[in-house]
Amino acid sequence: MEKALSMTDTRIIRVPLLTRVEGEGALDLEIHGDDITSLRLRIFEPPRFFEKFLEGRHYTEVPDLVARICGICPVAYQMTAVQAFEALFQVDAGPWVRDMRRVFYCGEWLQSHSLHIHLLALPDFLGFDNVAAMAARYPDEVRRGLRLQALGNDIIRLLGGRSVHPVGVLVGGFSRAPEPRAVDLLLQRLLAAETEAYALLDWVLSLPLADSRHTAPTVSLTQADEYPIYQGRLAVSDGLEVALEDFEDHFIEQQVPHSTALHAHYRSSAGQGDGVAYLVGPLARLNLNRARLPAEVLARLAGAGIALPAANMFHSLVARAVEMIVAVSEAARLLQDYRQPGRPFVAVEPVAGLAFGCSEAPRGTLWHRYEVDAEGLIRSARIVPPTSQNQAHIEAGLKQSLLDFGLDRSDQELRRHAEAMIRNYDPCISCATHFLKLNLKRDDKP
Amino acid sequence: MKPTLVVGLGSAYGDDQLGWIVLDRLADALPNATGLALLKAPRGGIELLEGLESLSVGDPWTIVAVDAVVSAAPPGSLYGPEPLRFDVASAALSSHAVGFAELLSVVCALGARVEQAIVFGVEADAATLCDRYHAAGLSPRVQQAVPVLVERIAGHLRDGAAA
Repeated sequence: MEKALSMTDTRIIRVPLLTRVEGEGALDLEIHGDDITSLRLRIFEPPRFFEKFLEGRHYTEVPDLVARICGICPVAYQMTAVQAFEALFQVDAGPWVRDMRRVFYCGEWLQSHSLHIHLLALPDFLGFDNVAAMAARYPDEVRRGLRLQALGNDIIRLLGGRSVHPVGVLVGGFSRAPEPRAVDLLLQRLLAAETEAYALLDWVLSLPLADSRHTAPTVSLTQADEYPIYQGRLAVSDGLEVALEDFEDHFIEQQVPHSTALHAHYRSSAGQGDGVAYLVGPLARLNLNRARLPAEVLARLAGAGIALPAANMFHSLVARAVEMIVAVSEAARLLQDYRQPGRPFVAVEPVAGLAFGCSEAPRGTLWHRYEVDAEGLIRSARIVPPTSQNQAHIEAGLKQSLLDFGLDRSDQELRRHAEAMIRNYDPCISCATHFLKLNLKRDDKP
Repeated sequence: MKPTLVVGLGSAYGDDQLGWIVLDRLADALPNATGLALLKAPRGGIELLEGLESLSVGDPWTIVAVDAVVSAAPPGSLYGPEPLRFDVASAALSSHAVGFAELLSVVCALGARVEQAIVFGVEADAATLCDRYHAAGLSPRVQQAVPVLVERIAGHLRDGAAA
């Protein structure tokens, strides 16, 4: 397919591959007797051509462009991109930039996780069909969630100018440094929010959670001295550590006939085998980085009978609540002794080569690869979001979950359980499948 | 005027900028209006939730939503004032496709005092609605409709203030 980019731009775009974003979903289920003979989660992605649009662009444009991939997690795309270019260009932006990027990302985790918990997930767990009815029954809890979400947005605004598609992110740093007075006001809110974040975790731990276990490799960044958000080593639960430049040897994306969303599989030996479904996201992070959690969090999890590593996908809700505590406390820690720098960025000169970046978006591991020329122009780009990496795991996990739930139930019960299970994985997926069309074919013949 | 919040829904691209542009023009058209608040909403109105505390005190609010519309009508067609029902309990709430009516129902469930909701809009040129590479402005017929819509909204608000 060839398409002119715009009326004023003479470049021709050829799109041999579909790009990857969330879209409407449908679930096709075939039941034969007491077995599921076919389960297919069809995601309808409208092609957005982001990876092709980046070709020919200057690296300085990339942070603003990739932020448009997602309105809920723009920071993740920006941070992964600048990390990639700085690694290739051998730029050390310094401790102030590193710390502020972690704060920036904490803001996104806080607002994304709170949005997911309170507006998407909780109605399932509390037995409500809609948020309004839940809000009427639990107004204090929903208001608390909205306060935490607003705090996350304000953290993003502090460093990015606005919470949606923030501006001011540079390869090399930030375009401006916040004023100390503004930081102090935010710090006071963060210190107060820690109590609320723990109260949220306690409330989530008190909820009746379904049990749906699926054993599969989990993948996340890890760090020696802190819970990974912006950077780290890419680790798999089987013990393998994958260098960022080797990502494509171990994590393989494939087109499947029934979905425009690519499926990803992990293979422990580079270049060998078809691979297996794997999981990224808060539960994967929690399991692989449990040694980095505050003691108070670990005590609460133990008190609720949750042993790590956790295999119950419905504990994703707990994982997000835990990560809200991490986000609040980390942001507070890093802003405690804030000093405005002389200049919030360092000079950058492009270098030709391949740039690799990887960070932990709210929904999981996000990986970028850019081919850059000597003038700093992008020759090719590849972006693998967490949304697409979980597709195969969703299908495998959902099948097991439905079997465990029991197929001798009404279509409506099956649909509700499927939606709740899918929602454990990823807000983008859950809203894509919130209009889940369940096509159920039953064949009761043995 | 009675407490009124005008919400400009949209984004920074193509005709989807309508709500934000109308808000800017409205601020110029009603510089001395009391009781009037303006809110640009890039996430479908979910920003309402952040203004919950303000909406929960004092006299009941009137919410006016302004947005680009996509239907079968010719680009530039005007809409409004159209009443918006928000006593709906919808399960279709999601972070990427938030219904404004559903959001209003949530804020009301949380204590916001909303008396009525009204919608104004302009039919967008669907071909360039969210054209990310023409963020410079609106399509011609939508651009032409903006001053007419602004005056229609301003007149409606003035009539409400005089009532």
